[in-house]
Amino acid sequence: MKRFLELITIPVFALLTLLAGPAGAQTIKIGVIIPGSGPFAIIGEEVKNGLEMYFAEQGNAVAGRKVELIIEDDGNKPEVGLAKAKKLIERDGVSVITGIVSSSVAYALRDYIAAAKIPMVITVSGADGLTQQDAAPNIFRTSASGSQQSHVLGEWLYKKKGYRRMIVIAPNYAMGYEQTGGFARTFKEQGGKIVKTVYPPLGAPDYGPFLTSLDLSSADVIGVVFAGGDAIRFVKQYAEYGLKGKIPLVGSGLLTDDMVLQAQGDAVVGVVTALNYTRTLQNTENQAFVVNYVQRYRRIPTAYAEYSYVGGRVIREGIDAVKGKVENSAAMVAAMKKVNFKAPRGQFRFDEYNNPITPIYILQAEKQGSSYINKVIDEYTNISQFYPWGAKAYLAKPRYTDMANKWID
Amino acid sequence: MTFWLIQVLNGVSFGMLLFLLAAGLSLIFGLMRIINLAHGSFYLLGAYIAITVAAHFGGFWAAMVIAPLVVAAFSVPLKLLLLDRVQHNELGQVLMTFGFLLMISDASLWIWGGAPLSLDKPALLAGSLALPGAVFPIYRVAVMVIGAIAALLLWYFVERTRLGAIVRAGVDDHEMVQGIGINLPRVMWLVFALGAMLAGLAGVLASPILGVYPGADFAVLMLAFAVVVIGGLGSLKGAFLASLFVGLVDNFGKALFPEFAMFTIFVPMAAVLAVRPTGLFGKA
Repeated sequence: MKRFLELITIPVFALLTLLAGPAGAQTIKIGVIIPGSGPFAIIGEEVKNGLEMYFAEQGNAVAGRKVELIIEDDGNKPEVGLAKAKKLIERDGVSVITGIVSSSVAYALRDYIAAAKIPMVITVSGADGLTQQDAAPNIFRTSASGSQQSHVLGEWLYKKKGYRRMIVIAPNYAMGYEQTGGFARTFKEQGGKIVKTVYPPLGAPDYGPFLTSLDLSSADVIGVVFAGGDAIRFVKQYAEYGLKGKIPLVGSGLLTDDMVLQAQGDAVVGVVTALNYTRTLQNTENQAFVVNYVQRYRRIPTAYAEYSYVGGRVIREGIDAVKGKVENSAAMVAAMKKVNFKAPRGQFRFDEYNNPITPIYILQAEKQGSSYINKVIDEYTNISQFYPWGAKAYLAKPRYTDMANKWID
Repeated sequence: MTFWLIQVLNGVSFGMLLFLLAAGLSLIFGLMRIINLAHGSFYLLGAYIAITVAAHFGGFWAAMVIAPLVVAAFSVPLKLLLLDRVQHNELGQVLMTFGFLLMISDASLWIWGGAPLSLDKPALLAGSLALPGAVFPIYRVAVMVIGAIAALLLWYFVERTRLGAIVRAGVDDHEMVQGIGINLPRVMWLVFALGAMLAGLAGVLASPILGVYPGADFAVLMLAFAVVVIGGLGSLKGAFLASLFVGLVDNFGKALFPEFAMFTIFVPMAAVLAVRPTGLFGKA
């Protein structure tokens, strides 16, 4: 029996590899790299849903050729992400790489993708550098750079709310520094002061000690960023320790996005954030998007789904422009750079560094019946990652990751 | 003054959660010499099951009673059917519990989804105490009380009951206890289930404060091990004191030196290991 199995394994494997080979030279393959486990798994799922839904709406075919999504799990590890990218490009023959949630994975891929010259459409990772100092012509982003939404928030807080002194709290890594750095910078440039900065570790189970160590009389507002479970905990603990009602809480849109909003409970009411998407946006594209998403997946879409849906659109426009001849990566990239369309979030196009120029909404969390929504209370249009300075002036400034401890005079 | 008071209260309430986690881990190691990496999974399951129970069967209190019992019941077949197969192979046991950790982690992701969840506090405990100049959540006070009651019950069980005496003897000298004819294996699965129940209870109590999400099992496992290493494997007294110590040090560390928050738990652990490798009260 054992001998028989030994004899048969080789021919069986050979047969399998032959069958697994190029499955139809006509199919366009798109590689999707997302986390399948751990705290970001839920975001990975939203990305998959957004992309799948977009292509399903096109009948899973573009320019007369069938389109296939090949999903790979990077487990949030940079080396795994890189290995999967190599596998997708070299073995599976994908024409586009997309997805990419974790910034460390994004950076690990950057050099390899830049050399491969295949378009990469990042749908979530916000690490600023990828569309600034470390940009490459074939690397695109459809979410937003980490600091992009925060720039308008800092300005808005000073001008429209009259705050003058701010305490900044963020997890102590690049995302935290970039998202809060954006509003710290514009707030200060308007004339405001940052009186304290606190950077707890990512995933801290208890924000109690940080919150209770603050001198509330020293500031007019607390500006933060937290995501996922951290955001739920922080907002709830902000209310539990009595800070709610004594000092307003504002932050980057991740703090109250649709993924965490319902779990935050009454504590979140009144919190102001800035984000490029919320499901309550009243335009035709978004209304259709939300209805279709709910029908397909039986839950409301988050911003991550929208970013990925838009990513699908960008990729499709690239494929259309080369009439399906995706081997011509350079022409696809050139066409993708020029997209300009109405996305669920509003008018969408890229800047010269392949980062989105879109509206940014100022949102306030409200209770509606027994659930919570983010209501749009203000809007800035055509905001790029360099607002309000322009690319050259902005890139000359120090990076937010270096500014983290330098906001206080 | 109130600053210090709040930090102490916070530290003690966090310490009580740590105690519930660490006590089980410490006993399981002390008696069975199993490094139970699946302990984090029991915490995770306790929290997730509590949320499901609360959503369908009426609230926090039902969840607090039912979820730990379900976790304990779940742990018994793991011990009897799987762990006992690698009984005298310590490395095998560690690997197997690691396997449980990974499988339960993935199964939870499949069952409850990846979005972070949290349990609603019971209405009775939902408010905050107004202290002079500050506010402290009542729920955390309740956690301290429940933790203290659990500690007392455990102490009574271990120090004053026959079964507890057998456990203590088994921790001290395994072979001797079996030599005098006591059926230790039967006691062992009971202790395993007890440890799992405590971890599950920690999960339930923690979920309104810390929430539960994929990866919470790994996160608390690190904390539980830090406490058990400092307090000493196999010692309940060590687990209790080390939990309070770690809770307070971690809390004050975060409040006073936020940038070094990662160090505040692991520096004491490293220091204790350097000076007393078996932990402060260890019997390993």
